[in-house]
Amino acid sequence: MQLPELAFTVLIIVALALTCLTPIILLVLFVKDYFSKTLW
Amino acid sequence: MVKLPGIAKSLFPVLTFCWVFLSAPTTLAQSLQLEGPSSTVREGYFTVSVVAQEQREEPLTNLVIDVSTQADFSHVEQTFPALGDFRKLSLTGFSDGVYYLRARADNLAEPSNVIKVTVQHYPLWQALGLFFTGLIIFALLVVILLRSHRRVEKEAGND
Amino acid sequence: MTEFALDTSLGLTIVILFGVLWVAFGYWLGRKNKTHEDFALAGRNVGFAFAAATAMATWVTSNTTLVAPQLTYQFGLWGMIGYSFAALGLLLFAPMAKRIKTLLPNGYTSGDFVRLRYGQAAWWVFIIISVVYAFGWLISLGMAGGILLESLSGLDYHIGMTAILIICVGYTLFGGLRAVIATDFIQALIIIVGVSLIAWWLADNVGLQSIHSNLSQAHPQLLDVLFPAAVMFLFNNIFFGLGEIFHSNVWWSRALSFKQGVAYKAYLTGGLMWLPIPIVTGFIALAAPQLGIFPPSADMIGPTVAAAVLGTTGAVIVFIVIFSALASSLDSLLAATSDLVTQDLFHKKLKPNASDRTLMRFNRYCILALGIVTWLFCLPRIATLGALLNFAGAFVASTIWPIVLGLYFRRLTGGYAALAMALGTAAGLAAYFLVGFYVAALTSCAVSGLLCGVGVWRSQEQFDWQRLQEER
Repeated sequence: MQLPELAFTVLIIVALALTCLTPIILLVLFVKDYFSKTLW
Repeated sequence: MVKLPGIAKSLFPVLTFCWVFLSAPTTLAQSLQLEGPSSTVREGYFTVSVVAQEQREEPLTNLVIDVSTQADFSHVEQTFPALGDFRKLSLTGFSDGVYYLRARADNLAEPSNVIKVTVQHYPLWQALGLFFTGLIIFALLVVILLRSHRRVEKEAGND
Repeated sequence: MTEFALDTSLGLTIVILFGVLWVAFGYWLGRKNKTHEDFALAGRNVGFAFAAATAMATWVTSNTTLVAPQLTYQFGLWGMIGYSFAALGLLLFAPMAKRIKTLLPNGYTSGDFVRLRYGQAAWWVFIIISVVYAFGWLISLGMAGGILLESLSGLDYHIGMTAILIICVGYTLFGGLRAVIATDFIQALIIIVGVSLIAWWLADNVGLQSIHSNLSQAHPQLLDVLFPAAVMFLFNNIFFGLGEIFHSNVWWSRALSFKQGVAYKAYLTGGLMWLPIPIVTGFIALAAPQLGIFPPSADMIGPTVAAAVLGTTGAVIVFIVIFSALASSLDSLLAATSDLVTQDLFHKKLKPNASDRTLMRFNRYCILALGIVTWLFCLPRIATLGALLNFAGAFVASTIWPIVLGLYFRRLTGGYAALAMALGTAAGLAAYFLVGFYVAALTSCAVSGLLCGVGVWRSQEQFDWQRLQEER
């Protein structure tokens, strides 16, 4: 049984979108920690 | 088939491009020798390598591998180009079946010898057997871990 | 005669530039380290942002950037989805990390826990497993560094391997865990941005539709949802990953270094952020057949595709991404292993009265020595990466049950834990040689689990959690 094209597309797009989101989350967390002086 | 001189053969993987200089200048016929997996392929991927007997300095141009399900190549199903100057190809995604492979290059008149590759995937019952064994152990682990976590969280809350 | 994606001098320039940058950064961060606790555990006060980033970045090893595409090229869909299941290790470690921080507020290493919880016999088995695994991984990372730099830029294997080791040893030596964590943060950003860029370009220029239709015609097996070999390996790989994380001091020392209340959410966030990355890196490999790229060996598929489609820019991105991925794991492993040796062997066995200064100095020598030993092992360029790592699965998977049960149940005794780890490893190794690599971790975990089950059932002991609170 082969994975249909729609499922394939959704899988890749979602993974790519989530991956692109990661640096944003990390930077937001960093800025938050930086200003509340809780980095270390 | 012309055999490659022993010293060149042992150095081949390391010094792919130097062997011309190392082999003795005998008069060898130009030909390609294709080598593939020796036993049945169980995972649908395998590597083939091409050994060329060249007298000329110039490299092979447009080295490709033909794949057919017929031994006489009356119908070539797929053709895979080699990457750059490499003479090894990693091929993938084959279903069950018997495949015949040969190598060709633009500047050589004759194609290589034909090799036969049999692809037979693991039986599904065996795969699913291991899958479900793993799944049961894994589920048990997750349940024990999460229940224990909730238990200690509760205890900490009661303290 | 072979064309390299990158100029050798450009490759060397990037290595030197990054090297100087990382080492200087490590030195700058290291100024704050006053005590051994500062050096080994970053003052036990790492905040959420760094904690989440380091959990993710350390788990993004050279494997995520190389083996995930390789497995996808070989096993198709299940290759990438199966690989992304390794995130389960981080996710499941989240509750454990919280428990570890509660039980051992003053602990240093995973070895500490095993010694206090299970006693000497189990500790020895555990240390052997840890050392085999740590060296296996260190050496495979060092060799991966050399091989990659060579295959991308033609830089000599020995120079590349030596350079990456010197750089990682350098900044870990100066900055300790603080440097490891801060560089992990930046390396995480580099890795994600790099792989997203390449995948985005492929999806945009080659098209998901055409990749799918090419695969279904020419390589149908890769889209098969019931690919036997891939279905078979799935849980073996998962147990390997769980074993790696649960036992390794790399993850324990992180849990202990995080601020109170951060460990749980940091590992959870790190795991969720890691989850899609293998799918993205794996997808890069799926585009290869459509592009007519059939590499000489499957482990080069990711870098080859990137370099082929993006030219020199792609090669530079790949070079930096892989360099970062290697460094973010290598430094963590150096720091965690030297902590283990300093704390568990030197401090507890040889010099119980050692001063803080002595410990810090010994820890530094240890990092240096580990670097040198790794370098010596990497010199001959012995085995391929995969072969080295598969072997380790039998070792680490045997620790899963003893660690989990030891953290939450009072009844499992040291004798059974030691037996479970030893026999689990033996059974895993036997399966590795008699059946195949795809059952090593599974067998090891099953046998060790069975023994632990018997242990919990038969034992009358009630372990006193207070005994874990050891005086320094």
